[in-house]
Amino acid sequence: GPLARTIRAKLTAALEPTHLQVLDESPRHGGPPGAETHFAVVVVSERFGGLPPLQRHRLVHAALSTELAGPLHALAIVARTPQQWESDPRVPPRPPCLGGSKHDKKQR
Amino acid sequence: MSGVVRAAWRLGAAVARVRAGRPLSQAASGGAEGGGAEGGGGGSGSREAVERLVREHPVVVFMKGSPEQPLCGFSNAVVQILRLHGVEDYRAHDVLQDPDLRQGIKNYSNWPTIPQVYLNGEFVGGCDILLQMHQNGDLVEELKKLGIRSALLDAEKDQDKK
Repeated sequence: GPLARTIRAKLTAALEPTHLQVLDESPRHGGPPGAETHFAVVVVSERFGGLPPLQRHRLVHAALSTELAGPLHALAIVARTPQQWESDPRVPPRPPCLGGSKHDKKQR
Repeated sequence: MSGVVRAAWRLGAAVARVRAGRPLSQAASGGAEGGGAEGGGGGSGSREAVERLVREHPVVVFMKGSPEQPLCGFSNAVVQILRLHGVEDYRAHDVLQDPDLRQGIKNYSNWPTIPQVYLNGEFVGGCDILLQMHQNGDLVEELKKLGIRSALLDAEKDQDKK
């Protein structure tokens, strides 16, 4: 979808990843297919070298700040250096949805 | 380790529904008056108000729902990880109860999503980071610095005995 493309483009430009996965997880959170509200990204980039996880995630957020202020409701992040990705290309399982967005009382 | 966490997630959702009792959330009472106030100067989402909340306790969590009944899978993951380490005494604030707090906490940490975990008043990250810390042993270390002994240390000792 369009948001997925935007996310992909912005992360590519900001972090020059050697590996990038952008997954729309909205269906797993009660949205219809193509809802594009919940995403998971796997970003492998040299830029993360020497940075603790918090700073890595902040880099990803910075690249997507407009989206996060808007339609992007949740973002799961895996951020590794190419060396880390080579030694461990596994991604932790995503937690099951417990209806979070449905509990929003027209707050957005 | 991740298999245990995965099972815990599934268990957690069921257990949370069965368990009765008051949620730990205290922010709801604090933010109840004047709903719809701006976040500044004294509102529940102001910097001062948030600062007070994150310093209230060595372990403070901003989440959707409560530890007894998390309303979001990511928030539940945080609750389950803390539970695995035997951390049951902490402050949990349900941002769904307080829109000012929900925005205020994001401004405070400059972090766009919920849940948010604070250790000793310092923002540590969301559910992904907490999971990483859990898997690589950092969480046990951070808890130790707060004077909290992770239950997993005792679990490992039991396993060694077998």
